[in-house]
Amino acid sequence: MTSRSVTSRSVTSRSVTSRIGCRDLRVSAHGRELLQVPELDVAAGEVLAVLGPNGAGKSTLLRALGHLGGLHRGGDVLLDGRPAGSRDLRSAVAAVLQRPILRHGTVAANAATGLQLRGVGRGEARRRSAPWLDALGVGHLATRPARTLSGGEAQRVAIARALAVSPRVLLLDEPFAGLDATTRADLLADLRVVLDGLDTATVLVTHDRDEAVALAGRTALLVAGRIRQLGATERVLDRPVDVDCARLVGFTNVLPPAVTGRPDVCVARPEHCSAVNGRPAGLRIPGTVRRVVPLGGGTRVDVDTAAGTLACLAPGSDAPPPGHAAVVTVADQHLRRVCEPAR
Amino acid sequence: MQAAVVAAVLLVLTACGAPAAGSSAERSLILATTTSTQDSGLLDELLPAFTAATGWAVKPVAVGSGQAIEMGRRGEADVVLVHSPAAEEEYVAEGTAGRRLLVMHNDFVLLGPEADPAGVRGARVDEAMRRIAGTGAVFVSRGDDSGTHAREKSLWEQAGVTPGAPWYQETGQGMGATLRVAAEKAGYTLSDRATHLAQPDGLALLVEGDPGLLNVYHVIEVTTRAGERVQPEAAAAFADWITGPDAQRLIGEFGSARYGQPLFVPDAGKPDPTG
Amino acid sequence: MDVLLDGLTQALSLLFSGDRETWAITLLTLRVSLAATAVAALVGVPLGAAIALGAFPGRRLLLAAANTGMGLPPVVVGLVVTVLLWRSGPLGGFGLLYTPTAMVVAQAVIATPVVVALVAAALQQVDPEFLVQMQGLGATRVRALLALGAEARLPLLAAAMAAFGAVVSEVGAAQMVGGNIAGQTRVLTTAAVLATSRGEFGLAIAFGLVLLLLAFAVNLVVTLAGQRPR
Repeated sequence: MTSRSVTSRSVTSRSVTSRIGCRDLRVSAHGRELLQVPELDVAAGEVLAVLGPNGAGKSTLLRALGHLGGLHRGGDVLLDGRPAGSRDLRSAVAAVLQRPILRHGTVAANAATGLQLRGVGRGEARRRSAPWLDALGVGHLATRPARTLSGGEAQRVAIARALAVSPRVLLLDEPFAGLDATTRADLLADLRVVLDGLDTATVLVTHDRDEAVALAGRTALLVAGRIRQLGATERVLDRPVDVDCARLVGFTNVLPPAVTGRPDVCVARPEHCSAVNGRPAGLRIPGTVRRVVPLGGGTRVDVDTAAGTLACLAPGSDAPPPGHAAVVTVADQHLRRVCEPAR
Repeated sequence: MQAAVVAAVLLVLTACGAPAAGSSAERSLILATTTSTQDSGLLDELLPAFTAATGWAVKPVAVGSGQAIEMGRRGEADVVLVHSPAAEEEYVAEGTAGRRLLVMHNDFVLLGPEADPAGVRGARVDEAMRRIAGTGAVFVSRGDDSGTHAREKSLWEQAGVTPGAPWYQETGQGMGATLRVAAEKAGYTLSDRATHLAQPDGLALLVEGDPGLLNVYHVIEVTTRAGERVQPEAAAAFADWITGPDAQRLIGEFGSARYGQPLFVPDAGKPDPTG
Repeated sequence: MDVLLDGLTQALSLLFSGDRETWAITLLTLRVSLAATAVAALVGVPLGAAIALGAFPGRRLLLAAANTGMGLPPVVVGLVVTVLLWRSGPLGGFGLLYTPTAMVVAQAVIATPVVVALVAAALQQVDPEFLVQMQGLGATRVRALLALGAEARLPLLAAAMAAFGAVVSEVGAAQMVGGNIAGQTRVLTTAAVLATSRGEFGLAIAFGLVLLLLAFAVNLVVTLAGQRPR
């Protein structure tokens, strides 16, 4: 695997400033290996997004890094470049999970929970956590019972609670997954501002690449328990290395050499494919229109071709009717060459 | 949170303290006896005096005569005080028991509704039993293998009657409960006089004084042949004391103040009417 | 109806005239039942927590067994404990039969399934990720468990109260293993049964009312202690 040796070199050079990381981290359950990460490093002040489909082992990776829950773990978790035990991680890490698990009591009491669990007195904990409620925009809810909050408000409290302990490492496990689009966008913006002012190493696990774009300088793609690709977020999202990664970041149309006549497998995003004749030429794949789905402001056309069903997404309502012959065209600049699926 | 801890601590403290409540430093024996001695209140009178006189604390277990004898047979009791002569003789004949001494007697009485539908008032007991069976009047039996139940069964046998449903009903409970059931059902029943006197039940006393209604109590020592943890010296102490002058005087006086007549007649040393 | 009124007056006079025997019986009832509840809690809370939080084979079987055990007839428990404690039984050497300790043992057996089942139910109501989240805020395993206990405080107290209620009101096991010995193992329920069989119905009702007051007092204390911190 040449890609791994490249990664490993870059990681070694980075490990000087690594805040949280791992070496040969393995997690198994019932004799089955769920996760295997040879190397991962996140620097202080950096946000790393871990992008992966459901069941890829994202949450497992996050929990393994924080020694959270009862995982069957092997290998080392590194803190500041040195192997760390549960005790070290406990004092360094704060986590926000997908569901904002708040306790009985007021918002203020909940925000103070982390500090209190770390042995800070009640009054002091409340005093120190209050500014974080303000920073996350929920300071005005301090006296409300936590159970009466909306989903977005509750997640803001959960994030404030985690940040209140001044964590050296922040682990975010899909904290925006349950929120509606507007709430999520607001929270992402607020969190970005807060994180930019901190020296915390943040690992964000998500299946949504918009979140990675909004928060993370680097992104790792996790498929079937292994990191397939790791790099600057823009590059990872635009230059997938294999078919799985391509699908993960939105290049869902896969075009094998037999269809394209080119030496490598090519992939393309549906928004770069067109089924309407007369578009600028590039790659042309003939087929039959399977269905036409009008979407708000655009139209999705599914075309049966020799490469399987290809989706084409275009603005406007211009589309050939189902059953008619069509040619899917992709401009060369939008095609990406990838490896064969690793099966 | 703090409250939960406090509650837990309290619970544990109480738990530690509890066993101390029961463990007495003095020696104690187990007396297997019948509900009639407990329900009549006789034990409450006798046992403190016994403990004062001998230093033995007593754990009286009041059950039916059948179960009391069974406890002796298994060595689960040190001494037995019961009123079921036939079963007692059978038990003694097995050879694991020690002395069997006559303690006292009272008598059984046949009770029934004031209206007396079977017309048994004043009759001999075997004739009375036959009339009850003949008219199909309700008869409520203890049905619990107690001394009273054993006596009732032998009375049916002597009368030549095999009791059965629907008029013959079994409660499976103690004397007091059975009296109340009989009263509610306006039925006949056999009771010891002591319980009848002690509990106002609304039933009329219809047959009494028949030699067949004598209710005799014996004390039986359990020996180590029945079980290795039996305390023969405790059995001997109890048997000697309850047949001695002090206990016999207490037995003879018991009930006079409350019911105007004694509930039991002390018999120690007299010839045994049951042979 | 007269009997009930009579019972009420007798109960009041027994309690407020400071009748020593009644107070002794009440105190013994309290000690035996609290001790049994405590033992049941010591055994049942970890077991219930393990069922609620753990993932081991036989977990659901255990839960089903505990749920069934809640319906265990006290008389049967009493009989089994009696047989075990018999002089000729395997534990006969301790001479525990007809002592308060034996009653504690039997009642603890009755209360344990109640504690196990209700503790499991109480903890299962809390988010399954609760412990992970507490750990993720810096809690040790023990602190996380304590936080979980605090979170489920009210249903846990309800479990304790249900267990206490089950043992303080049962008569079958107390009668059988205790023997209802005056001054030693007589508790309110067996005293009430004896009073009934002696035809002293007023006294029996009185004992019943005292039992009710006792249970109410205990529940009140626990409820006040549990509800206070808000």
